[in-house]
Amino acid sequence: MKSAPNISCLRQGVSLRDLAQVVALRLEGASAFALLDRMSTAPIYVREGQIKQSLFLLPDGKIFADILIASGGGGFFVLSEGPSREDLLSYISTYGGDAALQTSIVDLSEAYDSFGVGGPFAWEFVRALLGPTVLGMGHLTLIAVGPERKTLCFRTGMAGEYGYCIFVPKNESAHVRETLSQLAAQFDLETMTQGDLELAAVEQGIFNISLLNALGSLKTLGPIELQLQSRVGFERSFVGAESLNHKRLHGTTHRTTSFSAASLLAEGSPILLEGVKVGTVLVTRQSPCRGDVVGLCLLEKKYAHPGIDAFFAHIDEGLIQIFTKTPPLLTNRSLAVNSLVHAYATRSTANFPPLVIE
Amino acid sequence: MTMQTKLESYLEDRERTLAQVRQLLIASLDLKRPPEEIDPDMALFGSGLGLDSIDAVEIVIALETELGVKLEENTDRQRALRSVNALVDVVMESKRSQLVSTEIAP
Repeated sequence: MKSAPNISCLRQGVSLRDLAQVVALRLEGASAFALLDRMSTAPIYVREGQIKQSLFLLPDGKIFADILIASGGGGFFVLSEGPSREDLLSYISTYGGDAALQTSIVDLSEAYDSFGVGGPFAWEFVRALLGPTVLGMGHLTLIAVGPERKTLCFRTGMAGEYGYCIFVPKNESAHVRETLSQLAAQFDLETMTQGDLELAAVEQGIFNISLLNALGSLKTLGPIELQLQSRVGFERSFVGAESLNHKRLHGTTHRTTSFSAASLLAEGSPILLEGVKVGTVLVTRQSPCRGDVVGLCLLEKKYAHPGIDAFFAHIDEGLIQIFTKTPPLLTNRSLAVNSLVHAYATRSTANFPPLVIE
Repeated sequence: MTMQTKLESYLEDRERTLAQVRQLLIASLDLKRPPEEIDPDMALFGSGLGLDSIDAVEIVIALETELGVKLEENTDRQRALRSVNALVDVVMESKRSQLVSTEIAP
């Protein structure tokens, strides 16, 4: 099946993403660490140039923001998805205590133009755009590049493929945008929509806060059900820790699980085992790369495992089978692309594994 | 075997293998997390547990010595080591293969 161009670019080439959904802040001052430490679910002992995945929670343990914290230039960068800029700043001022008053917080959008680049050949595109230094970047690292080393390049990953979030000072932006336009044709660049990113997240089985917020799932599901415990230091004190630890100690009953199916399913549809409800469909999306439907469901923990073909869900025409899977639901080509061997221009001659392995 | 019995048997095997893999990761990598905090879909490298290539070698060795599962050279190791559940898949597949080869042995 032919893939839609933009999702195909993310899975097989290079794609562009605007970062309108991302609020980027720079925190400086003697209290910056203490401020983040009060709010971050993950410990934030990060080396210079290192990025940490974390969450900000509400006092009731529900997820407020999907957070990346990076250390750089003697301060911290926070990339947040979920809340608006105003809501994020209000959260910091409400829960940051005195540390918030003593920390300089600057919104990067005031001085920077930003965009994201993703896909198995994103490294090649970003090298052409910003120079060869970016090739040495490890996953979840940050470097400053450009003539005055003021362009910030966060290597963050995008749905299982190589990914970069780039912040260019506004006085250098026109030049970078011009180079980007020149490179666009060479790399068949397509811009990812929010819908593409949501599909990519479901294909990958990864957390997408905008999608889950839109579905209303975050009103009931937290880091434990969503399999985000790697972002939580349960022994630490942070906003929402008490509620989350209470939930952990008393046990959760359900867990998210990826699946595939032949048809789209309504959100909230019951998942049945021999007629008995054992879970609920959270979301399904048609996957052009796979040629079928991918989804995320919430199953009773006993049943929340991949490899099960005994579940069914209702569609208008009757019942259809769903197949629980180990994510990702396709092969990330970035795992097979080697910057010393491969290039976008000669990709058709390379022997990559197929995108879908059943 | 009825479908329900087959499923129950699969789930028991899956839970048992998941527990083994969690324990293997904790022991071989000296993780300071209890097993229940290692999510089944947690990525092993990059994000998630944030392991590196040296950890990957430790896991491959532990799989062979502790669980008798050898990742052959032609195995897609990157895929096999993608997440906790991916490892569980590999271990269960290896057990199935061993069972089949035992059954057809003369």
